[in-house]
Amino acid sequence: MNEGQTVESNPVQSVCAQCGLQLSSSGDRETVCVNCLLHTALGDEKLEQPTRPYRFDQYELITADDGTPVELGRGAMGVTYKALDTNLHCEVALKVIHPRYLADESSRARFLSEARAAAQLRHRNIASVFHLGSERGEYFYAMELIEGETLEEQVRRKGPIDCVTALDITVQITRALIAAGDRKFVHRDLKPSNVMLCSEADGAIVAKLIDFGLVRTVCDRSASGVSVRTGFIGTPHFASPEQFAGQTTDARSDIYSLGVTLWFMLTARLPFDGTREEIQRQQLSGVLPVHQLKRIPQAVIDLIKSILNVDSAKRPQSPATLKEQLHKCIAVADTAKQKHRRRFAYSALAAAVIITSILAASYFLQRKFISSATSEVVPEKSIAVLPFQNMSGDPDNAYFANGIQDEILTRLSKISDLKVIARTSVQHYQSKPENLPAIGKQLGVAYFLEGSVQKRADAVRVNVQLIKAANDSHLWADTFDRKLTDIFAVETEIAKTVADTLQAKLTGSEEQAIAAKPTENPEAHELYLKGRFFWNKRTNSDLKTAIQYFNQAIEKDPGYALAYAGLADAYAILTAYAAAPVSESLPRAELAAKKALELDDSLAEAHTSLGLLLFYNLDFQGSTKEFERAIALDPNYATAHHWYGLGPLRCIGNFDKAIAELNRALQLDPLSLIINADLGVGLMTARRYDEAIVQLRKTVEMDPYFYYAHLHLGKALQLNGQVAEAMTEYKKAAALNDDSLVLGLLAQGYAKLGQRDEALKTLEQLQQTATRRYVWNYTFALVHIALGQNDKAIEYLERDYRDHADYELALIKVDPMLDPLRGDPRFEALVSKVFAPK
Amino acid sequence: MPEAASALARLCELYWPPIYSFVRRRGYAPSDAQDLTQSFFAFFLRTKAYARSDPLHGKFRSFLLASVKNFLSDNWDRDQAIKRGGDYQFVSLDQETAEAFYDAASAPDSTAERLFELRWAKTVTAGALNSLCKELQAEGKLKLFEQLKAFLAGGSVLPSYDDASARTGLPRATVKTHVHRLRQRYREIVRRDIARTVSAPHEIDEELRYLCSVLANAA
Repeated sequence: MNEGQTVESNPVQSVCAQCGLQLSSSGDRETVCVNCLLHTALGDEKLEQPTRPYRFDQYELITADDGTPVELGRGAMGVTYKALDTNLHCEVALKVIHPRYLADESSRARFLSEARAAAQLRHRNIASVFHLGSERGEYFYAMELIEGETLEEQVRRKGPIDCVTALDITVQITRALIAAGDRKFVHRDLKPSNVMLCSEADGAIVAKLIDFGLVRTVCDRSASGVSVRTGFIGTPHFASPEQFAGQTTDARSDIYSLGVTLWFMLTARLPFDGTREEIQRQQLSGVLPVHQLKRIPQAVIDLIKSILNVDSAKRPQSPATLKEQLHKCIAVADTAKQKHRRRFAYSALAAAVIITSILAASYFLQRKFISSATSEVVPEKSIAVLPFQNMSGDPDNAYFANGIQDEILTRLSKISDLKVIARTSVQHYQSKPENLPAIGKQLGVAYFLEGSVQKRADAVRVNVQLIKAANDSHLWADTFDRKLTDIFAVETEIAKTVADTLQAKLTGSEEQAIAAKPTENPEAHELYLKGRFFWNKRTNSDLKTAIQYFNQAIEKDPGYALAYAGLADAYAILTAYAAAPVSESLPRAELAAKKALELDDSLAEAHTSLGLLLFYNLDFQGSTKEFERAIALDPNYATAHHWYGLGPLRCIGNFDKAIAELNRALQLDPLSLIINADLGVGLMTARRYDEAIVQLRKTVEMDPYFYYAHLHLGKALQLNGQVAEAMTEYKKAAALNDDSLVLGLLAQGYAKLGQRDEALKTLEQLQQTATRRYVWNYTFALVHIALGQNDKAIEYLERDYRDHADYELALIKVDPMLDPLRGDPRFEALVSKVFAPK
Repeated sequence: MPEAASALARLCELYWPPIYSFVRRRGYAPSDAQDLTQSFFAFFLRTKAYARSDPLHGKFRSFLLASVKNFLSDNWDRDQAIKRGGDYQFVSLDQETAEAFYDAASAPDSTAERLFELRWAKTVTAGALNSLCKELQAEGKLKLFEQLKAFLAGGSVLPSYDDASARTGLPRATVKTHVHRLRQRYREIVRRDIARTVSAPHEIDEELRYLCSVLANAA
């Protein structure tokens, strides 16, 4: 496409005889009409004819009110539209190859093989493909339109599926795999978003397998004796180990993916998560987070374990075998369900008998009953604000629903008479979970606030319901239809009504705090909400996106204190996520936090960020002041309690108060992994090793893949004299995360076990690592202590102080790992320097 | 993703005329506009600005226009680009060629943005016509292409099948068949080219219609 070949130096001005528009007057040897060329491209040979609607052969894309085609799905290979078959007058799903692959022969071939494979499979549990066509060089195929939703959408919307139903869906997909196997096909991309669920007239759920985009024929090894290797192809969370390894796959690979899908149905979670490499590492470790499968019959757990075996030879060997085993599990699960129902009926009856007895029984018996019951009672004035449902129809508006939930939660948390559960502990629940009483117990709250948000242009509708956890009864519900500019007033009204209903006492300043209107500029507010949305995701790139949004919010409203506080938070934790060097992010965080407080001194978040920054600067007094102020402003802010306890209180050796603060943080955010682990860390620093080990083991049980918990469990075990057990934990941590501190702990562990050669080898590895990336001086210090080279260890710590590089130095006074250095004058001098008034 | 990057570099090579025209209409002299165009592409590819856009959504045309606007609004980059004096050669560009594409006499009242879109439409359609011409040339049918081109590309004289039949010495029905095939092939080529710049199949038609509306508004 080089116009340069047809340049003419003298421009000609004339009009096209065909359409009357000006001809292209230069750059062409012979004049051409761009308009006519465009219409030729559109297929409008007679210009007076109106342009055709979006159309592929006899299929006309159905459009929404705004005229855009209705998309049913978008995948790597193509876009699926809702379309009308103009011959048969029925609706179909039309998959059209993605434009970017039009010129790519191999992708086109893949698209065709997908359509042809699916067309060969006529089965109740497979979406039928009945037409493959091409028009204007673009390929498409038509398939049955399934009115329903994907398995993924259903689980995300309603939470886990009950065991018997989940097994039944799995059986149906197994049938589809049997049919595919008869044709020697392997699906290779089996996952919840490729399973459609629809209801039949009698209410029965039918599962249909869709998207054969990665299908391939099984290599007939007996004939060729050769196994064909391919690069990784598939979706990492659901891919089998052999897919990751790029090996030949057969039905057992699909069986593995089906196992992960079954796990997702039962738990609404994934057994393996993270980057592709992390997932692969977790798979290969052979450790499954079976604690997620609570209340699932053992027989089902055993089957899942065998399906998810790393070794394909140890899985059910064919879909037919799997189907048989699933049927056995259904029988077991069904019996368990019946028993549970009966037990529930008996319990209800027993409860009635007990209540009657209590009414009739002696005072003594009444006292005894009440006292045992109250030992489990949660505070009456306690609430969890569940994630708000985004009803806008546009997933991009999720940030807005999240933001409203977050702001109501923040307003409520300012009320000291109320216990409000932190966001991180509620966020993985659904908007409307089914088992509220159980969740209430788990979180330690008496009430829930549920809600949904619908945003259209500049108007917003917020629905809320206040629910009593114990019996799932509704106390209050309301709908607010307002302009976007009035959103803060709605949030205030909801927070006030909740407080009134729960009879929480509000001080004057608390009333003011929950009625705050942080900005007059709705655009700035939306940008702020987007910033918080990404901040909560906590990955390097999301934190950087959050920073961009906060900055944009500040541009719109330079007086928006909360946006500065968001910026400070994002920069403050950027270092922790290794997205920026300390020297770069911390000064920016400090600047933003100070600016936020200059604009509004009552922001608990900004005081908390500043507290953390001062702590990093070894200013323990200043840090304490900021954390205390934050807690006074927002007594329910778990992060303030957490960082205060783990930071200055622990480092100055005020362990009782530190642990009390960490416990308070845990009450407010009971499911937070980091707070659970850090309570263990606090106990360890206080040299309460047995308790620390119990707490850290509990955290590991919550999530066996949380490397941080393994690392500190290892330290606690080592300090308790269990060095061999500690090494096991260090190795687990090393398998989960490539952290240089873990390498250092391993090196010093080898030294402690008397394996000096191994220790030196690992130290060398650590030194190699330091040539590629930053390694804490503290890490080297630990290794040299274990090798008996205290002088060298102190040198590293002194360097640390000089460079002001790690925050571990703040622990110098209390860290049990540094005990061998105590009493050395150089070390003591360093301690004094660290604790000198700032 | 080196493959994606080189595909992008190829796309940029194709779409320099709209960028150059945009820069010129913003008031830069021809030599500065050349340096800025070269530097913009260097900046665009070096900073991987495209990586910030969602590859599944949006049109390359809009993204490129927004990027060049940002580039020009950043004083530092702009001044640096001019100071460097065109030491970077992304596309082979001499002043005469570049000015011919800018075509100052055409669409004198158009804003820089509108001119960008007009030149975009022209680049797309002329490029596809050029590809078709090469295909026919390879088949030894260049003469036939030249004789029948007006049926696709319009012109100052209304084409007629009788005249074409007389000129080519082919029966009228055969001429009609050839024209039909040429149109069909042209359609495929232009759609394939546009497909590289959009993110969903239905957007190809949308893009064509949009470019038609740009021309209609400019008329």
